[in-house]
Amino acid sequence: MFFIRMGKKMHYKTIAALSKSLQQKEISSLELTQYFLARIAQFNPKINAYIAVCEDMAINAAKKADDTLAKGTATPLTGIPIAHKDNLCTKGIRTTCGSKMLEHFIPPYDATIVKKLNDAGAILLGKCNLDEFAMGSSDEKSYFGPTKNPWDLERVPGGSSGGSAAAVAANLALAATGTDTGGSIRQPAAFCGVIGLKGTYGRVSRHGMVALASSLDHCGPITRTAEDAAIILNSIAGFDPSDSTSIDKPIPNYTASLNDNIKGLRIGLPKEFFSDQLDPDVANAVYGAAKELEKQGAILKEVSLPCSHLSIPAYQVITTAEAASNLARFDGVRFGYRCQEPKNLNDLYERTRAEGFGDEVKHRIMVGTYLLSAGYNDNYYIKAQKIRRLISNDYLKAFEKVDLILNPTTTTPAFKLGAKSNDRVAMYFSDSLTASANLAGLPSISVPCGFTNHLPAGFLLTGNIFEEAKILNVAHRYQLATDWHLKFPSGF
Amino acid sequence: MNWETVIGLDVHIQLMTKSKLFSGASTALCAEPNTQTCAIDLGLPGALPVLNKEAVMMAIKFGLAIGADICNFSSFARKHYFYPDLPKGYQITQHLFPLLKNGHLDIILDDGQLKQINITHALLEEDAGKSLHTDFKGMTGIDFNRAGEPLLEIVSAPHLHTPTEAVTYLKTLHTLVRYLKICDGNLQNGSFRVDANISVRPFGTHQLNAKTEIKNLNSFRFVEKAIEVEAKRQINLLTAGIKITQETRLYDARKNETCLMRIKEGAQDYRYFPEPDLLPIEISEAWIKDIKLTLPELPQARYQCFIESKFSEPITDSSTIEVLTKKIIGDYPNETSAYRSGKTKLLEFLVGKVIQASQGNASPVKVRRILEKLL
Repeated sequence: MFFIRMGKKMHYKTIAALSKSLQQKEISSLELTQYFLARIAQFNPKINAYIAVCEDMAINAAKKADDTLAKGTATPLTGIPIAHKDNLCTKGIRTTCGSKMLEHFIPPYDATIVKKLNDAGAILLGKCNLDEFAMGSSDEKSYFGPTKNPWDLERVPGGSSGGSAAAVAANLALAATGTDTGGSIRQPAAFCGVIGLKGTYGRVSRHGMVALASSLDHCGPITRTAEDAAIILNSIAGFDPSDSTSIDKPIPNYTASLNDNIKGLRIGLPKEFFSDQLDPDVANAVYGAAKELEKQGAILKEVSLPCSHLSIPAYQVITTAEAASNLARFDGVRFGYRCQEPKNLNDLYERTRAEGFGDEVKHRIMVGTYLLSAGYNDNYYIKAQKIRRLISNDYLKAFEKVDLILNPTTTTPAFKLGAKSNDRVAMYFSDSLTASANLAGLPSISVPCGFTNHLPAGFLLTGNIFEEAKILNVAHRYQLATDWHLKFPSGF
Repeated sequence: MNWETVIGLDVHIQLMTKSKLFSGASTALCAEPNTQTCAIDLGLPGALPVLNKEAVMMAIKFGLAIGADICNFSSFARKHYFYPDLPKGYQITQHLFPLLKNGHLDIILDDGQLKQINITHALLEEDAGKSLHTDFKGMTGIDFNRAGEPLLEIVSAPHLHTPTEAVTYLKTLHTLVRYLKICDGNLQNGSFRVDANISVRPFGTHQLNAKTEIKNLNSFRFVEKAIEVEAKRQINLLTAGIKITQETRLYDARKNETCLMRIKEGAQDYRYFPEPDLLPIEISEAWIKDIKLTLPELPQARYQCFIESKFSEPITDSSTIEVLTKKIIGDYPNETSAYRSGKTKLLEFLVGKVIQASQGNASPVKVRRILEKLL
């Protein structure tokens, strides 16, 4: 057990601040890492944010980071303790995807996002819980039990990156990586009162991210501030020859433009995303955020995204089809779970997959297989891709009139555990305000903007392709003028 | 009733790239199983394919050699089925947008006539691993060394009508891919695989009837025999009023008959959709021009040189001599039929003519052997 100096409250500080402290030798990475490991030991049982904690590796890495800091060759992330979502491959460290199928799987390689953060000197504290194979919006579908929202232990943290968002919200890591296919970084960020960033499709390499829907998958950071997210994005963005869909374009310095003036910036509010479905308190919080930006000189306009009601149907079709395909490799032959004493090949496949996958995964595989099958492919998958083009065009058209789009991240605050278990469609519609950005491949960030009772609310900023700098800039300017990101759940 | 056999040939050639189609793992011939694989070939979670440019270059070379349209835009698709030697549960192949279309191969028939066989398309795809059913006490060993190796699937139109024509087409193709140095043509090792699609129809009609596919024919002799017996089998069935079921069959060399492998039922549902992990292949005219400059003199061109007596180096390879020999057989039909009806001394005459046509450069021993075989 480590002695915790109560006066310090290091877990409340940001990466930006702690990086300075580390570089100025006010604290060591070893201290900082031990501090967070102690917090995880104490508080993780309450929320089950972590599936695995890598104590020894973290301490060794921290010692190495301290050497680097002593030499003066540190980066802004050297010595900073972070966590990775457990569907990002970490070499030599169990990567389970929240599934029995990969309960004991140890990847022989690092995902590119993991490698880049390792190379930048970040310290890996552990792997965070998620909905099984990233299929879900509540983290209730993990083989390792649900994660709880630190703001209210009877509620979900959101999903599928619920563990990552909860860890950051409860200050059990300074940042955590997540993955976002329809909203899985941004929705849990909103539910947990933290920042969640998804870049342009291809901005951050998918190599080593266990694929859900290849054409919709993104990975990105969950942090408490936009500045911290920018610091991480500087490290993880960039062309990767191992990912044929990664973009070969120079990366701007995302922290350099954070403080830019936003006077004259045109922000569009899509009327379709402010319907009467919206919880009134969430709506107020989001309008409040819009007003704050207007105070800083931004110009608010109403825009329309006419096809947005089709986003969830299109998203579900494409995701389940691509996921059914991507999960075909889990067959008990080369790695992962294998049923006991298979009698023949069919038995091997049937029992391995029936026993290894949870219900939601099996459900989606069956639907996805159906949607791709002969006679239905054109009506479903191809049609969904065409609708995707229309949704994308809606945004492009809107960007002729405005620079950014602003809307609520979710229609409601975090719901209670079990509330949507029997209503799959309702669960899918948790992504109704976020999935369009995946369909269109646009950069999008969720920013905490208030509370409904005790539960956080978040607003979403979506930019045109490659406009990560702009959305980070606006988010940062908003956080300079507000203090939602400085509120912390009690009991942690 | 006179029947006509209709044959279309699917040939899969293994391209001689140094590494695999979508990964950097080696393609060298290797005895030790599972030593030439990587995360991508094994379909490990999170691994992504990256296209091998050399494979595309070799495919373009082939396209140029057969006068095909080299599509400036082509793309990959996923073809799904479950089998242990298919690591991802899908094969990355090309479906709606293959790389090459509308080529042709000129073949020289035994009587010296030239016949043009259309190649409808050729596409790039990855190979699966190997399943080894013996040596493992009731279990199956899977070797993934071959998984991910680049294949070019070459599909001919159903323009072949006899087993001999089919073998001539294959030999011509075989020579061509070796000349181009894109495939080593080793049938026994599986770097040149033949599947034959066979149907029959009344002579003079033009419709395409139900066909069967004979797979895994790994010698030219087996191709010839398999087509022969399968055509006979179909004719017998149709004559007895029984319909031909579309099926996949194998050739049993010991019994000299084909046997059922599986029923096709139209087509297995492979749930094709465009491969989202790979960008479409865009090929510039400039690149095609560059590749054209690297093409060797093709067998057809060399044949023309013999005709025009331009060739001056010693000819040692059998396929070239065969080409020349067939020409002579075509030029001297009287002597040929006289030899066949017993005037064996005419062989020397024909040998002499071949050597003359090669300007003294062909080996007499080889010429004699080939003439005897063709006659």
